[in-house]
Amino acid sequence: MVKKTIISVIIFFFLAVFQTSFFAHFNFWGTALNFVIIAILIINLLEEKKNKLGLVCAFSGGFFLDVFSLSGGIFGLYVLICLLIAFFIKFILKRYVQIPTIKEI
Amino acid sequence: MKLKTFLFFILVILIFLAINLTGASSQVKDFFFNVSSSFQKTMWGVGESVSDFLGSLFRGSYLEKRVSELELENQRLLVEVVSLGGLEKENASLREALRVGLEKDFELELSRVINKDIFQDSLLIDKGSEDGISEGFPVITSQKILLGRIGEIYGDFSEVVLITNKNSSFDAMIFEKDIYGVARGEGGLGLLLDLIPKEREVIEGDLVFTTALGGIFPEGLLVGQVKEVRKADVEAFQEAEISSSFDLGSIEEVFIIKDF
Repeated sequence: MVKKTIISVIIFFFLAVFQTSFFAHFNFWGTALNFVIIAILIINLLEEKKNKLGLVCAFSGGFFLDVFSLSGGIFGLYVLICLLIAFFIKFILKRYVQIPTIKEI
Repeated sequence: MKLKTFLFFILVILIFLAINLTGASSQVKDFFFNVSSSFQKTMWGVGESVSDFLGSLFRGSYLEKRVSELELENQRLLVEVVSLGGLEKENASLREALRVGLEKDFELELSRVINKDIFQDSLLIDKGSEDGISEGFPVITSQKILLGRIGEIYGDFSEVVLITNKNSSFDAMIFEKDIYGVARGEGGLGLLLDLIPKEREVIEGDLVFTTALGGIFPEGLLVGQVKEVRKADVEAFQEAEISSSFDLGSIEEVFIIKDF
């Protein structure tokens, strides 16, 4: 789990860097897709409920969104939002919706 | 196990509270900006090239039409340059006669763009408080097109709040018509010129420049061009949608005006 945590932190760091520099040039009507949030959604949807990697990814993704956000405001807000998304998918959505999962990411 | 998880979350919440209350968030951000800046600058340049290449693939016929329009515009401007040449000589003699000083040059600081904020119209550049940058300094492109002004400042980096940012608002005027209004950012790279007197005629293509009113920006910086005029009978003023003159996809270097 420690190894997966470190790898996910590194991946989300680079994803946030790409999001704000490379992908900033590809926008539709002034808005760009947020690949960090998309990655968090996909990992949490595909992961089994008992596994914790999705929550770790939500934390890392939210942390780097806070770091690379220039809007000021509360540091940690995106961590909270991403964790809430992950909790919602794992503990509420999956209770009512059958989604095929991958045993081990 | 549940107690451990609960305690872990409490610890995380306390750490974030401490970061926010002590103002350490700017140091945290500064650290990560320093770590990632050279890679981000490279990725910004690569993104620009890839975006240009992909754009050219999909815009063949549009580009052909645009080239013809620009050729015609070029010819018109050449004629204008010739006629202005004569006026310039007359102007120089008058200045000499009245001993009027030439327009003051700005004190400029060159900076590179590192990234764009995911959620709003702001850029991060590689000059900060260590380079004498202060909040509110105007930022322009090399073609003297207005980009925005300095917002949040870090040690070696600064935020540029673009003129299209929702928090941006400044006085502007329509060139040669002396029509004044307030330019307001709408987010998503949109810009609106509001509070234009209803009786004044504004047409598509009119150029918008900054004014010295309010002291936010120096006078005479190009903001953009009128794209659409909106007039409603029930409203006291008319408004115009502005197409900003800067192209975010092609900006790598910007100039910070330190004194004007």
